[in-house]
Amino acid sequence: METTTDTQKSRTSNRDVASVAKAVLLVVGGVMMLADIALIFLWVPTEQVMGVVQRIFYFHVPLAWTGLLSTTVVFISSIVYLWKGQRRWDALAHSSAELSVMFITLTLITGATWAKMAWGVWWTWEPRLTTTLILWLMYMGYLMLRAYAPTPSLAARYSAVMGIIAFVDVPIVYFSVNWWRGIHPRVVGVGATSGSLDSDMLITLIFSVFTFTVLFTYVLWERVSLRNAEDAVQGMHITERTA
Amino acid sequence: MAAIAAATAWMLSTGVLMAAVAAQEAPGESTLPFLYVVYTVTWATFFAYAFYVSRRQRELRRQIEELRRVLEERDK
Repeated sequence: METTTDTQKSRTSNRDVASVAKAVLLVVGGVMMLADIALIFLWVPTEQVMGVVQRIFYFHVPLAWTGLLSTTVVFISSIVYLWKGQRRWDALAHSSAELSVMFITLTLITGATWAKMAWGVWWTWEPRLTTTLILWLMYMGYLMLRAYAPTPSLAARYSAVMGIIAFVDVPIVYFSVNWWRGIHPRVVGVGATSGSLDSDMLITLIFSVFTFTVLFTYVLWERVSLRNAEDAVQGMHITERTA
Repeated sequence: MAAIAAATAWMLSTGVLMAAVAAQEAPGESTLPFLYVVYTVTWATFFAYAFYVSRRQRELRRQIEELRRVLEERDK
């Protein structure tokens, strides 16, 4: 009886530590977000050729980064789930896949808005855009697969396989601007034109990437907690029915 | 009340930010609405999702407490 009480106390204490850590992450993320908005709108110089619309770039690139980061989390946790069979890895993969869809959707929206000003069209079947759309469809497929699988354990196993297969498209998205002749700009990463970004613009971009990463970590943590709560409710319903 | 305060703060801050950027826009340029759309859609989606997750969590915690009570009463 004492052991059970000790375990409960330890769980409660762990939960308290997690709540404090989450609150700290939220405050840090919130302050960074305000600073990021100030940098984007008040500090960074206006780009000479494109004008103010170029500032979309400080949203678009971090969103694309967090989108690819979340797909990487899905990939790694899917492999670990298939290897070890622990539910917490499936919870992480599922939560991250949901965030992947959100961030890739926002990447496509912000990119299309920029494209309308830069290229005169909302959408073109350009390699980077097309491969990103395929990535979005794959993660939508992942979520649909989970929703329609006959049992939770099958949903976890099928979607883990899907999470691994879908990740194949991530390096294709990243390297598409190098592999094929497209019109998507190359301002960061492999193949970027050197000196294409002013130092103030680079600082703003890096800060924005950090801000979105912190906010992504916070939302992912909350989403995993939600998934654990959903599992707990489901388990209790089963106990109630069988009791 | 909190929602009204948040919406007001949102509109005021957006107004200030857009005015600051508009001052840097070249005459005849009209790209500001595009920037506004991106800014609003990005943050609105992000906060709507975070709000949904925290509300659903609260609801589930309440359900867990209720179920625990039911199970404890049954055990007695």
